[in-house]
Order: sequence, then C-alpha cells, then structure tokens
Amino acid sequence: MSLPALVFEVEIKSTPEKIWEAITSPDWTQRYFFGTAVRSDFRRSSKVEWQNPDGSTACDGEIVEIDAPRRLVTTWRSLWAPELAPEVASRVTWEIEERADGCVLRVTHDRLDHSPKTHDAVSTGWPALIGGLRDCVQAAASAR
Amino acid sequence: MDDVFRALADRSRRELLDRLRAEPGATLAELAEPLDMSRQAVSKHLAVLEAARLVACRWVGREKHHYLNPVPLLEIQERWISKFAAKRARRLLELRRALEEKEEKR
Repeated sequence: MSLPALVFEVEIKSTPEKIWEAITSPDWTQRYFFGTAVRSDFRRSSKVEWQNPDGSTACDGEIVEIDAPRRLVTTWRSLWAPELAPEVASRVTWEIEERADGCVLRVTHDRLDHSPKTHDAVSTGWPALIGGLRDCVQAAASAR
Repeated sequence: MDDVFRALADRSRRELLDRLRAEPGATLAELAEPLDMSRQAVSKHLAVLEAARLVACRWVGREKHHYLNPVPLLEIQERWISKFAAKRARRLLELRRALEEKEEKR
C-alpha cells in the first residue's frame, strides 16, 4: 500500500533565524515538542533525538541535509510507543520560507509507505506541534 | 482567518479540498480532469486556497503537488469547540447519521 506524504504549514510572524532557533534549541523544543528536548550537534550525518524529561528518547533520526536557517531534512523513527518503534524510518523535512510579512514554516513527513502506524500517529501530532511552535515564537516576540 | 472563511465560501473550492483529501499530492492536471472546470479556473481556485494556507504545495522536479493542510481548520475548531464539546458534538453527529440511515432503509 502506498501512503501519501503529509504536509503541514503555518505562518509565523518572525524571522527565519528565530524559527530556526526554536527548531534546534532544547530550551525551545521543551515548550512545544511534547515536552522533549532536542539533542544534536546539527551537522550532516549526525544523530538527532528528542529526549523526554525522564531521559528516554521520544523520537530520533539522522540529519540528511542541513542549511540553516532554511532547511533541515532528517530521517525519523517514532520511539514513544512500542507499536511504532519497530517501523521503518521515514523522513521529515522542515522548510522556512521568508515572506513580506513573516515566514511560512512547512513540515513534510514522507517515505511513510512502510510505517502506517507512524503515519496515523503523526497526522494529528504535527498540526499541534507546529501550531505550538508558532505560538511560542510569536509570544516571545510580543513579550519583548 | 478571514481568508480561510472566504476560501471556504465557494463550492468549487470545497470540492477541490475534498479531492485533495482523497488524493493527496494531486497535480493541477489531475485535479482539472474529472471536474467540470477549466484548468485555468482550477488554478485560480488553488491560488485562493494556497493563500489561505488550506492547501500546501510541494515541488517534485517540475511537478507541483497539492496537499490539504489541516492546520487552519484545526485551529478554527480549537478556537470555538473545546475538547469536551467536540466529543458531544461528534456523538450528536453520529446519532443523526444513524437516524438518517434508519429513515433511508424504510
């Protein structure tokens, strides 16, 4: 069975640099990425993982492509639930596009053909996650 | 949010969203074919949906693929329907569906 790619977009009134920081710094991810802290040196071929407060890994992957502050491509394994963990790694692409009045953040999750349970789990997870990211970044900007 | 409601106010555009839900990643040509609309008209409607962020696009080589972006619709739901109310509303919809099916069978 072939499963379609999932594509999610939000508009964020901020700069690519601020959004990039929100994606790549653990202080930020803890606020919107289901409480997890991102861990990586953010170089090509390096590992990236999102760590739960108890130290366990919620999800992880390998950095396939990185072009700060515009584009990050990683493989993806969902490790937070035992039925998801054995599924084949899929792929996640983060893209930040600058517009006249802010940015568009697009998350594409594809190569899900052999990971149907991950497909279903992340379909509802990503909208909440990137909506949360936008709210955090915009709230920080208006608090200044 | 205004542009989301404006985009949804048109029947053809709602049909396009239905199509994209059924066929994620469809190209303009694929979308125009079975609809009773010119390619130009479909392209115009898609531009409105894209501007409202209801449709997200992805380029694969020279082909532009279109996807339904669920984020704006989920945010509308969250704004006016709490999680508790969503459950009750869904049960009511299920009840209506069940009653309507019964009615049809008669």
